Amino acid sequence: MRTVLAIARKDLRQRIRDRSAIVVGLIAPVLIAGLMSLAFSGLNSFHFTLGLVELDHGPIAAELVKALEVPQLRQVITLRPVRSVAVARSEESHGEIAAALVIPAEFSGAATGEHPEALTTITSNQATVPGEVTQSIVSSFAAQLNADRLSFATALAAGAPRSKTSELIGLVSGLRIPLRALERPVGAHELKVISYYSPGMAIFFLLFTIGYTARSFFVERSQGLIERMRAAPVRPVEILLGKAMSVFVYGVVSLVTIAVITSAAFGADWGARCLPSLSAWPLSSRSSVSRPS
Amino acid sequence: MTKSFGSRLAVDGVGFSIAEGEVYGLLGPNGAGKTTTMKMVCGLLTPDKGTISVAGQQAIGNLEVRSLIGYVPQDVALYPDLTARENLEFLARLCKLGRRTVKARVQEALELTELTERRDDRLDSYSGGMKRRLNIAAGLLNHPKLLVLDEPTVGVDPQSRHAILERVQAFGRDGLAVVYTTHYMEEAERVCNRVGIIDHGHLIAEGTRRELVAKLGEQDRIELSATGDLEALAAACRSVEGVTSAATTDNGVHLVACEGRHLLPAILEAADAAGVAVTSVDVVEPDLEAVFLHLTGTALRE
Repeated sequence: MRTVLAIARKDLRQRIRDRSAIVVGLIAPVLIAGLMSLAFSGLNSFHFTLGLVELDHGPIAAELVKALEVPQLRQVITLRPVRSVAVARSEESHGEIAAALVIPAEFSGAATGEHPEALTTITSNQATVPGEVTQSIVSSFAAQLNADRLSFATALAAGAPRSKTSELIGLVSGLRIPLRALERPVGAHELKVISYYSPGMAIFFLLFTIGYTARSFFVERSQGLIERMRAAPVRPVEILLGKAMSVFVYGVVSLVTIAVITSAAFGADWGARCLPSLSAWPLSSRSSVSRPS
Repeated sequence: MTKSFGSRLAVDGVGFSIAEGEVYGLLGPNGAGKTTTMKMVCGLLTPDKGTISVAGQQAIGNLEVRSLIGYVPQDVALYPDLTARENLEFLARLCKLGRRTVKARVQEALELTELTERRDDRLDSYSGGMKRRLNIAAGLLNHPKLLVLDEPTVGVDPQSRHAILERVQAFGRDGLAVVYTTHYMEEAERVCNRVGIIDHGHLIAEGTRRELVAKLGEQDRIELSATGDLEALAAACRSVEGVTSAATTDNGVHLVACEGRHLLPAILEAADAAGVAVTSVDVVEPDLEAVFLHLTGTALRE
């Protein structure tokens, strides 16, 4: 094992002295990841202003507004009250709002009747995402409302007295749809571009490091250096292991350094478990090679 | 030892033994099979047939025996981006030496090559001669019983060459068994106690210089410098009675002949008849080159 370590140490020494290896293993990945992060920094968050045309002012409309104002959506949606549908269309066309939601008059009253009013989403065909997000939130609210309506109607059909309507509404409104498909918005857990590019670049340039070692092996062979090693009491497998160990150690040190720099300087998220694991690799490999064979 | 590469027979039944303190020269032209033979001795190639024994131990496939052999390859096989000390330390560690021993042997090698003051300079800042010296010293790190030097003076300036040859002679005096391959006759004559002449993978003669030259009998070597058709000159000389062999060189023809001095008029007459102008004639005492010429019919440096 001492032979393997001697070869690995020699290779690492050569690697450290080779400035191009430092550039490829460290500087280039950090630089490119940083530049990519800067270039795409605008894509880090999604946010839009939603115009709200509230013509009902009833209890169910108030619930819907509450659903739009939940803390999880504050990073994504800013609600802006708008007086009328016409004003909403005008503001949308001028770009003051990205989409609008219209709660019609008598919406709350009709919701418990046989002919409920429809909620309308005003959106642009230029930027459809805000409209789709609004539509998704409203659909979720409508699904709950429809479930409440169905529960109420079922109770009445089963003989519940109409005199106890208010109690029934109280009971029904406490119920929630037990099973539903949830789509969590990306904005709720922001994925930074640097968090994507840092590991990407580190692994990409790690391939160059591996390629460099393979090339250096063949250069050493053509220069008679491998032959000289083999003339010593050294097995070919020890030469290969030594070279593999140098790539491994260099790769891990490179990854850890890139991870630390991009985390500290750019706030890249390498994952809570990733960094300690990366840091532990060299230690674990060192302890495994130092065990007596 | 016998070794083939595909259908090409590189070494065919070459065998020799070397005693402690003996410098054995393997003399032959390029492509004769010297390096292949040395690689088999060092365990870098496995012979197709034959046995190799070093200090009484079977060497083929025996890793331990490599500790007894010091190998100095033909080209400088050291890392140019490492210092002399780092190169030597690395190679010493490969010989499974302990830390203290490594340090001592490296110091010893640096002193031997007179490079102690420059031990921490990178090898790419060294002159060709310094690299060669270090290349040889690296082969001595394990204190070998057998030192194999594969044409260590190729491409070396005369001063460094002289120093290397002095050192090789000293290795012999120090009790080391040395195999020295070369295609320079003068080097073989100067440093080797015994010489094996190898050509086309065959060991065609072996012995001390005196023994080999004795094979020529009372023959002389005649060197003709000439301009014109040298092949025609060689053919003309062969037709002269008493000339046993003739081979062209870069600027003339080398002959081996009985009673060489007495044949000179006939040789010059034959040259004249072949239409070749002879510019100088030199009759030299029999040497290894004459032996090689006599045995193979070709000049050593052809």
